[in-house]
Amino acid sequence: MAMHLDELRSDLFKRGLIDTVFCGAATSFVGGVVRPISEGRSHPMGKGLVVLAILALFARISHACTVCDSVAGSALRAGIFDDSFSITFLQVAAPFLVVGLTLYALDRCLPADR
Amino acid sequence: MNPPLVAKPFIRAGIFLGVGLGGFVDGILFHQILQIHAMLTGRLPKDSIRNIEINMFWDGLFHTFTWIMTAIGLTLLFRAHAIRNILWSGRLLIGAMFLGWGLFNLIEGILSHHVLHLHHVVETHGQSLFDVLFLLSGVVFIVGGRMAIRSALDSTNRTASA
Repeated sequence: MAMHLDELRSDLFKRGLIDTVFCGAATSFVGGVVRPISEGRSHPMGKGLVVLAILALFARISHACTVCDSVAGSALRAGIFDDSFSITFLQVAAPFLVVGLTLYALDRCLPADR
Repeated sequence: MNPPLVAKPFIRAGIFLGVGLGGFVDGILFHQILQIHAMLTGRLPKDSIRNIEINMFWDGLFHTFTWIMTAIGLTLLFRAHAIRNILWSGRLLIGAMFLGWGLFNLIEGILSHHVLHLHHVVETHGQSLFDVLFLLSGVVFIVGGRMAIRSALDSTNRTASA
């Protein structure tokens, strides 16, 4: 486990550096296209490239996902998406569902003007 | 003659904002800064990196729900602002937010801490006085919020009838 942890940390650090540079470049690029559009000027590269840049940004971020492709990540993924995933999901969501239903019931009970 | 002021859409927005922001207080303060519990520490104690990361995933899901509640609250507030005769009052908003926060603490406390045992407020103590205090904070916020709302409505009624 200690070996995996070291690998994970080292990998995270390298990916963090790469992603910082990549995000900076992508943001500048998107800014360079989006800004003229938001100011009412058309840009020769168009909205398609903006979408492409955003997709590339997300692709890069997802590549940095440790849950996705490392050894430790596989074990982690197995721990999260196990047989009880849907039940745990409902249990975590339960307070919000009950709050929502309570608010709905209260809303129906209150007079319309107040 | 001006139409009577309406408060319900504003209160509705405040309650949702209170639920969302109250959830963020729990998630950010207790789960992340103080780290006295995480979403599933009642079942997966934070004694290994794997368990910490699994808890982090479920904390993220918890924050997603609180974010959704906050976004709904902001949307409702934006829509309330568009109503011409809305009662726009700081005391009313604060009261509604405390009411929402209290509702969240009470319901989340009962379900997660006492019924489902997903976690406890101070996990190292297990079920303890802190769980009861958490519920109590919910009741206090609900009563306080209700009083603030009532006070804001009464104050508006007095001004209108003067």
